[in-house]
Amino acid sequence: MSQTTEALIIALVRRAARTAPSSLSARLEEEWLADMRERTSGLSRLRFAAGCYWASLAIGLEHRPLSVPVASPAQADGALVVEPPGFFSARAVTFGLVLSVHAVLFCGLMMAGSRLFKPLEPPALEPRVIDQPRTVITPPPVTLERFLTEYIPPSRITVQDPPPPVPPKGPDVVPQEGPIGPQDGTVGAPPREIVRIQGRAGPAFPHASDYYPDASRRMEEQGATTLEVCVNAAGQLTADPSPTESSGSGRLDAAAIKLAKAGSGHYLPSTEDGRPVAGCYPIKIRFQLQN
Amino acid sequence: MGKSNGNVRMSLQTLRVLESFLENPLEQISGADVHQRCRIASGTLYPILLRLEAAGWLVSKWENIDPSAAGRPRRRLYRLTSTGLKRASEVFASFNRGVLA
Repeated sequence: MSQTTEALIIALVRRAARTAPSSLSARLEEEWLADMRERTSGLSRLRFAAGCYWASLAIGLEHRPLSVPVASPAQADGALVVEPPGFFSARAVTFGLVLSVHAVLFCGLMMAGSRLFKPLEPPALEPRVIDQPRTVITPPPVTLERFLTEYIPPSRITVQDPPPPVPPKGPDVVPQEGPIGPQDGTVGAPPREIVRIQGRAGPAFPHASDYYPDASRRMEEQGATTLEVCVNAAGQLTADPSPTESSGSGRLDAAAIKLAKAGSGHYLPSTEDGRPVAGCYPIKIRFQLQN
Repeated sequence: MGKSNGNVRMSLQTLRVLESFLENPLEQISGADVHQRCRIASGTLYPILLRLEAAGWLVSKWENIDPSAAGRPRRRLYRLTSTGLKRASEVFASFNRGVLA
C-alpha cells in the first residue's frame, strides 16, 4: 500500500475520531489507529476507516459531551463517563435524521426531475383546407317488389242477348203470316258489348319480399308463380288460390299461395261496365332477389 | 437508553461480542481482536464496546507499552467485569431456557 493511501486512511480515522464527542475523540483516535494497524490489506483498512466514521456518528448520538472537568482522572484515562439519557432517545434522533435525509433527497429528485423532464404538450392543431372534388354518391334506383305482381290487361268480351222465346206450337195455334220476330216489328237487337276489366292486386297488397323464403334467398332461387284467384266484389278471396303455372320451385309456389291468401281483402275485383263483380282471374307473383 | 443501570439492549451483534469475551473471561482483548473473532464491522463494533463499558459489563484500559519504543500506538484492551460476566452468563443461560432475560 502506498504511503499516500496510508496517509489518507490515517487522516480519515483521525477525522472520524474528531467527529465523536470531544471527551472520547483522543481515546478513539489512538485506539482506532492501533486497531487499524492490525488490518493487513489496504482495502480492509479503508473499510475500517469508513466504519469508524459510522461508529463516531453512533457514539456521538449515544454519548453527549461530558460535563465533568477535563482534568478529571477518569477522562484523563479515557474512561467512559455516561450522562443521563436526554429527552429524545438516540434511536429516535437517528430515525429523524434518516427521515430528513430521505425527505431532502426526494425533494431534490422531484425538483431536478421537473426541470429535466417537462410534460409533453400536444401539437397545436392547424386547420387546413383540402381542395378535393366532392364525390356525389347517387343512390341506386329503388325497385319495389310490390309491383312485381304483373298486371294483365283487361279483355273485352262480347256477350249476345239470348234469343226471344219461341211460342209453343199447338194444334189450336194458327200460324200467322209475316216474319217471325218480336211483335214490335224489330228483327232482333244487335249483340250488346260489355266492358269487363279483370281484377288485380290492390295497392295495399302485401309485399312479396316479406314472404320470400329464407332457404330460397340462400339458394338464390327466383321465379314467378301464376295463381288463379277468385274474389268477390269486395276484393276478398272466395276460394283458395290455385297455381296454374309453377315457378319451378316448390318453396316459391308455396310462398306465392301464402302471399295470395294474405292479400285477401286487398284485391281489386273485376268490373263489368265499371261495376265490381265477383270472378276469378290469374295473378302472377314474382320473387326476384335484389342486390 | 438504560445503560447506566446496567441494562443493555441485546442484539445479535451484541451477543456475538459477548460470546467472544466469554471464550476466556479473564483475557484482555482489543477491538481488533474482537473483530477477528466475531467479524463485526468497525462501525457496529465500537459503539457496542462503548455501550457495554458504559453499562459496566466491560472495563478497558490502555496497553502497558511505550508507543515510541514500540513504534505503534497503544491498544485499548477490554475485559469482562464480574458484573458483565454474571449478566452475560444469565443472558446465554436464558437462551438455553428459551426465554430472553
